[in-house]
Amino acid sequence: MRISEKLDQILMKVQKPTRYMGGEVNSIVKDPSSVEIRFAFCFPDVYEIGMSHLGIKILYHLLNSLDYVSCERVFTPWPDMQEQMKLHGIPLFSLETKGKVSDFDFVGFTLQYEMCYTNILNMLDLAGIPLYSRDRGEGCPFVCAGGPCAYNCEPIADFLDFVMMGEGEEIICEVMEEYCRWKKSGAGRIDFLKRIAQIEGIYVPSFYDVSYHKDGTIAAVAPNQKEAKPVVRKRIISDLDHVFYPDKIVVPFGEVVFDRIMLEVFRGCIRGCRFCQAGYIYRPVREKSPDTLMQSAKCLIQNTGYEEISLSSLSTSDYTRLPELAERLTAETEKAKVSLSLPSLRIDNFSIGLMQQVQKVRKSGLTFAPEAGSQRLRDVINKGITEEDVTRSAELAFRGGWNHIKLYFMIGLPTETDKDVTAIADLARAVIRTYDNIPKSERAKNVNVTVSVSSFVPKAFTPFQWEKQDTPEELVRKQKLLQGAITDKRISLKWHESSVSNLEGVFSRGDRRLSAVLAAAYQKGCLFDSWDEYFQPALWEEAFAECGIDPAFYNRRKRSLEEILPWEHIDVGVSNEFFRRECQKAYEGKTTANCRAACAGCGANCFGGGVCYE
Amino acid sequence: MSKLRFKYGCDACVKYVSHLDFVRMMTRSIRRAGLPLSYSQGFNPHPVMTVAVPLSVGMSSEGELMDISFDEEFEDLDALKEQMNAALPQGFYVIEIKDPAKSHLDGLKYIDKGEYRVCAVCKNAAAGFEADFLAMDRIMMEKKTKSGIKDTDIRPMIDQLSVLEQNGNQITFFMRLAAGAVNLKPQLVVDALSRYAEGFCGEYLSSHRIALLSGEKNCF
Ligand code: SF4
Repeated sequence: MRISEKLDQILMKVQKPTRYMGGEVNSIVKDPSSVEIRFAFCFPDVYEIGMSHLGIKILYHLLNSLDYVSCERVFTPWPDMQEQMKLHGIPLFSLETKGKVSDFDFVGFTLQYEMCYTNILNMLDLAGIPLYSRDRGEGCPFVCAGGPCAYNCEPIADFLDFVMMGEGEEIICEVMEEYCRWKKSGAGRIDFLKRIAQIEGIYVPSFYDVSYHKDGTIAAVAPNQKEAKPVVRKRIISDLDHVFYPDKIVVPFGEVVFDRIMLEVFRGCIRGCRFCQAGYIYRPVREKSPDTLMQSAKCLIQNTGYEEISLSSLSTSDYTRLPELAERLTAETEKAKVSLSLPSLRIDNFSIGLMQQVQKVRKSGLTFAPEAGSQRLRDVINKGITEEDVTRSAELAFRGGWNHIKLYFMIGLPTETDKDVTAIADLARAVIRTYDNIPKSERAKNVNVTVSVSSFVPKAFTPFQWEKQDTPEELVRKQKLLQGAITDKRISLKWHESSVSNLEGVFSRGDRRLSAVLAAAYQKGCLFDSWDEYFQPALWEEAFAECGIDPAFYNRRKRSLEEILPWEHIDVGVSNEFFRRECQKAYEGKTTANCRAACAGCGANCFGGGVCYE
Repeated sequence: MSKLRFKYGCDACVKYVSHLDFVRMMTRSIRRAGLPLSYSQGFNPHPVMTVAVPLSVGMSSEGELMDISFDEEFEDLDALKEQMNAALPQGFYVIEIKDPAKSHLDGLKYIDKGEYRVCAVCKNAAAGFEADFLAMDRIMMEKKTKSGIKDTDIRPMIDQLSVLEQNGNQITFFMRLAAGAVNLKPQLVVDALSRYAEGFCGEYLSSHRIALLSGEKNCF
């Protein structure tokens, strides 16, 4: 029986069957026999999460634009579906042709967050593909990965045949071309890896040996093949006006998390917040022109029928031509009866006016991210916001008719004291005071401030990559402290789970010895770890113990600035020298200007483009 | 503004699309087709369209009805149909579009019956079992209603029931059942047959809606 026929017997028994159905508008089905390469694009989470992600939309349509490649989508089946698949002997399949994933030439994972790693193993397992790259023989698909977590993919290094570092649009096509040549040559599997190892941005984990000191720290990372580059530098697209951007995207049947058109305005961020990995790994900032963006917007509105479009970038207010784009986009969206949403805008006179214009509907919450309560700590993390900035923005918002403000903070930041924690409550109170000081006739009724607190996780490729992470107990203590400091009923506190971030902290700066822990945890049943209802900390503890690995080595240890880090052989363009400098400045409470105010010499000018040459 | 009545169908490949997802899909398809869909006034404008009797998940159909309002009048309804079919995802198709004034019925709310082709796997089926079943005065089944699951007599909701075809262990029924405000699902009838009909023991497989009726009349 074919997979599609078997599916017919089980889809009525699972939640949200459209997750597994395919056939959505703008999905692309090619006859497998008509192409040279079949690429299974895997997102290691459930459909609704994966289909909300911009990267998969770009690369899916890009790969399918090559006539010799067929790219099909695969998501992690929800546990209820996995049960049915096992019962009926259905292996992991693609949505487009319902083909067995093990029949594809490439199985590519996008790595968006560390807590999806067990899902990768699960998907390989469901596909019947050996988990470890060393166990894969000729005829097995090549298992590869990309995305933000790929920069330090060491914890999953043993499972991946190769990794693509950086923005994928060019490199993935180069790999496809090389594959065709290799296939014609008739050479073996290792030969293909040697060929692509010479492409800038390709990392073949098995081509590197890692040795360790007695204390467990890394002694050296050395290539063991002459084709492997000693340092792998990420790829970027220099000219975003001429790179592929899909003019249509798949429109899901069921509702997904971000069910709208996403317009990528620029890549990178000029700010340099010291805790934020995205602020460094996507450097340097490169913008798209309003012409390019309008062209994309028009096509996407026409080809999807979506009723909402959203600007998607790290800090939209930093777009240099925002007023022009906003004006043209509002005109277009009004005409097409599409609503425009503007996340991550700094609140100032311009943005308030813009939001009042486009958000004719209910005035829902506005968000700010001061990230830390005290000015001292905000300087440490280089969040260039003062209390006055916050209250001035709040005043504008209150006078503009908003009455719900959400403030985002982190606790567990380097150098944090109890005073910094309670300062969060002070800042929330200052916002309330601002409201109280506005005459009743000039503000909306019933103010509400939500303080949303998450725990800081030190990340690779940031100035805090050497820091230790607070224990869950310490975080809970700080959370209680903060709760006690909040006395006003109009302020509510929201808190995010800290035991997940504890584990995230292990893997975000982990090395390849953790592959064994992942495999053990998966065998014990760990899956969908980013979902509270499935996260099983006790099983993880067992897995660490069995492998003889102490997680504290990875998340509780302050590393010396000289230590060789597991990702030392990966180059994102920002120098370690710069990170050391930034780390020192953080301790001194000195801020660093953003890229447009003054170049801080981070090293990303090596790519020869973007904001560094404006 | 003009209101038009659409007769449409959906193939088995899209039978998992729920009613809510269908409405969203339809809205987006109309927008892709570039047609001037009418929106309601107010804070949260929504498209003005009414689906006659929502199709259950798992069912295909060739006889669905819905009214859709547009900001413009249309001369050529065939061309409109082509435009819609080009925009719909595979598996959904418009069969015909009519001015409701020229329809047998002015309101979709008068629909009270649906006709189905229903498949079941049966372990055994003695001849004439359906006649005995229909001869029962009352057929009590636990039925989902707005106020929870209730013991309900479903006999009055069954208008017609006959065996169309029997092929090996697969049996196909024709059923005409209450649809709309009072609604009976074919699966419940198969379950009732298994429970009450002497000489029948089977398991529901799938169903396909053929038409929606008002009284004896096909409403389109
Ligand atoms: S080199 Fe200077 S301008 Fe370029 S990204 Fe680094 S800090 Fe910014």
